[in-house]
Amino acid sequence: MSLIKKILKYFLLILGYLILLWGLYTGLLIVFGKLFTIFSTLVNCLFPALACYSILFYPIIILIMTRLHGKKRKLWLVPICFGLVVVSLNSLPLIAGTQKPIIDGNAQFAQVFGANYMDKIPQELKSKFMKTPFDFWKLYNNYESFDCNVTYDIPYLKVPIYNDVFKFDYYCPKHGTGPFPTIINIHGGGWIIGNKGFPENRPQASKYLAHQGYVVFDIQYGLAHFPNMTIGNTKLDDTLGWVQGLLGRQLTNKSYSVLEQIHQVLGNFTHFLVSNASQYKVNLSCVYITGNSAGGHLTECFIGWNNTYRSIFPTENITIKGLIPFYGVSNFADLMYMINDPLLGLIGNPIELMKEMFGGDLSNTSFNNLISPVTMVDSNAPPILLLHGENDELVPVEQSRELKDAYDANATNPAILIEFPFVGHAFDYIFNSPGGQISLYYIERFLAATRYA
Amino acid sequence: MVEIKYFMTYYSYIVILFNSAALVLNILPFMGILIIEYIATIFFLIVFFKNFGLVILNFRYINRSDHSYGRWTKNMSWIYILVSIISIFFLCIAPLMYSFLNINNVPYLIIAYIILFGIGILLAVFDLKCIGQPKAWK
Repeated sequence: MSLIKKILKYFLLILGYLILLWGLYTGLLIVFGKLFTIFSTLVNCLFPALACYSILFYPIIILIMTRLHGKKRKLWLVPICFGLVVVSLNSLPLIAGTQKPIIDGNAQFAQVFGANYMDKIPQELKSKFMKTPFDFWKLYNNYESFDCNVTYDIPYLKVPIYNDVFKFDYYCPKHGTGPFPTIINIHGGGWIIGNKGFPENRPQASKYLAHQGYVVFDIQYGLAHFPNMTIGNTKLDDTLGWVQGLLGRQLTNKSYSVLEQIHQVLGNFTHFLVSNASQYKVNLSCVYITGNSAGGHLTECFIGWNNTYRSIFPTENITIKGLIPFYGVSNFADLMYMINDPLLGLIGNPIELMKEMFGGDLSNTSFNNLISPVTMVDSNAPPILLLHGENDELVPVEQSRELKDAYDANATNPAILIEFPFVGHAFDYIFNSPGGQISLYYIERFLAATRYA
Repeated sequence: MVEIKYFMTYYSYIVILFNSAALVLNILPFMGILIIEYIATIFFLIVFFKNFGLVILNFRYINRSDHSYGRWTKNMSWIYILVSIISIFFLCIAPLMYSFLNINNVPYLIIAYIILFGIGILLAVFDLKCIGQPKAWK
């Protein structure tokens, strides 16, 4: 064998083992979800959805490596055994992870809405439903286009003093005159980054729901930033501005605290909706709110429509039919340990940073109650469908469990919590991933059941 | 050797048949025939691993030093591996493009299927060509 061939062979062997090591890392992340670094958190957002491809990809790597080991057949066992472990671990979200949420979801829906709740839903709407919670073919083939009209970048709030404008994208059914049941879709991003529409806020899901006869408002809101804080020599806002650039949105001129964000979404936008209901074909007696991560928290804040935020919410005009938060924070008191996170320590004084971000002191109980949805649950709390990944490191699943417990104890309306095993934060971002498909399956049924069942 | 040649003949015909069926079944849903999605999925997985079996058999029994068909069959086996990786890459980024960028994936997906199953058929055809060539076998 020539020297070049030998070098190439060993290079490919090393590359193969590195790929298998990466597979082992993502596999362990899927199983345990507890390798907490920023990097592993980001990987955990995306990889469980993509890991399904490991069934196809890693066998090829194993085959190549056995060939490269040549006639030393005992060595073949190394990539074969190693590879089989990697394939098994990585395919868990697909094989084991799709069963539990479906069994749980079906049981809870039957318990809450009755075993025959589907019979009460009109056939016309039912015909547009997904036939099964998870379709393997759709996992590999993403191509559907959903029939609806979309208008982008409609302004709903101007803050002249800071020259900031907040906009929304409007998804409307193509057929029918309305008014249509309405969904407000709130993006995530830790209250400091994010944008409506592509690429971030599940626009295919908005189109899908508009196709089913809902008007969907995918809204922007003000985000917090930190003009006086740095990481080393870099200004924190420069980094945030760069990320925002990737998402197609500039940093606002003013930094908006979480409290101000709640006021914008619960107050400004809902008042806009009331004032412009006929123009946008909004059925004000049938409004749903959904959002993920930080948007999930803002969605959960609508629980306080009749108590904490009664003064800003147009209580007499809008009826909230249901809330669908994905992996939102419900009780900030449980997250105070994050102040000790070494990453926050890099930025500066974590307490000051939190104050600037939230608009108050989280260690103060009355402020904490003001922004923690779990404290707002009373008999008027709307029906809620909570969706959460069990391996979520950013917002632990206990947050949703706590909110469900509060509902069970204090609310008259039902709370359904569907937990997704082997997946972390943002498990639904890839539209046809197992998490994406199963969550949408139950969302469309929740929307219909709260209206008809 | 005679037994393996018989086996390879039947196996190659089955590979051609299954690849052709998988190609048609996986393209038809794009044209609105959604009812066959499940069968298409099953065929996709069966064919993917069946082709894999053919590649392993080729590595084991085909003789590279035969300059007529043996060498080309073995080369084609490596090309199949390379093409599989590229096709899976296409299939893997398709949901990202669809979810985040709203890019219409249909052309990419069809190309990925044509390449994947097309090369599978070609591989089986080369194997059939080897049947009549005694030098092509180890």
